[in-house]
Amino acid sequence: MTTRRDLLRGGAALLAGAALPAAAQAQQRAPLGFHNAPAAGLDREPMRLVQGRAPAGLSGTLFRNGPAQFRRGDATIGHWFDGDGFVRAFRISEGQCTLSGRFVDTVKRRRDAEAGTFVMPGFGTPAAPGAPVSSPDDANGASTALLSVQDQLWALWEGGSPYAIDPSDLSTRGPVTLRDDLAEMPFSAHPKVSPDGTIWNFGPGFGQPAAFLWALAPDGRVKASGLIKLPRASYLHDWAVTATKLILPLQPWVVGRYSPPFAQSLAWRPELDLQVLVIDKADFTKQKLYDLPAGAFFHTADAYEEADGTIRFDLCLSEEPVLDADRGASILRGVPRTGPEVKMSMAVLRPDGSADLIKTPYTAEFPVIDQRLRSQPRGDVYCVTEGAVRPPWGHPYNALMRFNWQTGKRTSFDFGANTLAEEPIFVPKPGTADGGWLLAPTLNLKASATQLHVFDAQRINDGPLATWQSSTPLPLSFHGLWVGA
Amino acid sequence: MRYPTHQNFRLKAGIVASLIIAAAACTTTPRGEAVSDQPETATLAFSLKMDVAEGAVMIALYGSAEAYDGGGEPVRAVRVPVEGVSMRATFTDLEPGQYAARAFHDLNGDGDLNTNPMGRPIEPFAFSNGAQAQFGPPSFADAAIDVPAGETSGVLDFRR
Repeated sequence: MTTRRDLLRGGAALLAGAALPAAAQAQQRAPLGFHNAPAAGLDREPMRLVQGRAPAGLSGTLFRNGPAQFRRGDATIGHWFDGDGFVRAFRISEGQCTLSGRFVDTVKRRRDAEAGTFVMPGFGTPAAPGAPVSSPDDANGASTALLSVQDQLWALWEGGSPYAIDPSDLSTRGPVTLRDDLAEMPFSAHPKVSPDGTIWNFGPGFGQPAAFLWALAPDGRVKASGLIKLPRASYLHDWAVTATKLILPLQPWVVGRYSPPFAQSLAWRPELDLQVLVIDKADFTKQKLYDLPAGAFFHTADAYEEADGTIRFDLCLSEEPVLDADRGASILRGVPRTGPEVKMSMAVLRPDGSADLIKTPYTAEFPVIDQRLRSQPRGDVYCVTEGAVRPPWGHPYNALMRFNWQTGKRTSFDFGANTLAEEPIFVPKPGTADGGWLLAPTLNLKASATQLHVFDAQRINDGPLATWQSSTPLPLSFHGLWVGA
Repeated sequence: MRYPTHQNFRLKAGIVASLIIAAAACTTTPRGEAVSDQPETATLAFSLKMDVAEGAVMIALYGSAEAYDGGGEPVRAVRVPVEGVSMRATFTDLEPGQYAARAFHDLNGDGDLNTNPMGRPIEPFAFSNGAQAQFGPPSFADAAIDVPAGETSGVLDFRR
């Protein structure tokens, strides 16, 4: 019988294991989704077209970010979120695709590398005794998401400054101070760009019942900012923005007694319900608090207001937090995932103060929309979901889903049990009002390769129009964006 | 449009604890002070290393864990105008004993350790004995140096 490990390593590597130093063995034990990316990066290499044909008009770059350093020496990092950011570029032009990648050159990465182990703290990783952490940016892994700001990419973490990246060669320019007096204020991994180009973001209070709000001009200049008090010290990861409102869902996953690392300080307290704080964009002091049944979430898709002032936003909701301290650690060690499923859901906040959660039975994570429709009433949301047979490890997503809130219709494409699916990105089809492609990266465990699939967004059940395959498997990434040529 | 500013309220020191350094009252500029030749007293000379030659360095010197950790009064507090990226600050006529310094580079010369709205210092700071901050200032035990009679040297490195 073929075991998962066999699948990963191949028999020869398994036999060779005994003679390898501890570090190499640790890396070998790593599940393919959570193995280290090459330390020196991945030089730009062509991907092989293994299926179909790239559609005409698809030209640009899919940039993605995600943690990619999970092991140093014989140490494994404490949580998936804590690996160093590795920015990758899938450049598509004239039917061809290339892949390159670089680690973000952070203070944290340098100090860990010097020590030869993990000394800097993270979400679920404690600081080593005496490790120098004089500011949150010392622990900033720049590992979660990206934002395109003029000619730069910003690699984003949850609790620190953006790190500027050169999109042409993925080299690191360094941390960005948005304004001198706001140096090192947290800038979350989930900024929302409004149709007018304003970049809205929050910074989590990390243990404090507070959040910092940012409004940046398209060039990154701070237009407005302010610290707001929250009714509780919820873990804040993602939020939602409408044309006039900022929406901070406050899950009942709250900092209790602080004892590092941060994830260990979070307590799940469903009796506190899921509160939603709605803040006026034009006046941060104008706020309204809604109450929903308890639920945990990491990601929202988009929010919009209806004519009567009702606010709706889709979120991927679970009965309790999925990647808590324990599961965020065990997923890196190849332990099959246990715990709650995450379902496509919608929050409805009415002007009279009442609120509801609509839950679908469909497993869903990493939801995205056609960005042309942001802040507008809309039906379609795209995400990853579960296929018929679960993949072997902790990451349970191996299929793509399109769900329409207006019709209730769900279509999907199942990559099969040997594939792990990452967040898809919607790319508008030039010259159309609503046509588009979904760019869907996956990790193929059987081929031991990163793949990039192109789907017609409106016909994902037809399967990919084109699939490219790399010669190097990269660990799973979190979030990305498309920059059209 | 109206926005609350960070003056409205500030976060209390917490997880991302503020590295509040006791504001060093401006007293004397010690450069050029003669080193005491009385053997029973101690002299502590810090070499100061900065990134830029601007503003002033503020140093608070503590002689006990109680004062250092508990927000008590420093033994000495000085302000040294920064005229170069490498300078010296000398404390003379000290009782021999253990001392720890909290210091910051007051880049804009406003006399305060400037912080961001979450209370994080945004000007360079340093502690004696090369002690490093870890989500808060190092303890007296980590920052203290033995200062016997005679001259002792130390470093306060503000470079980032």
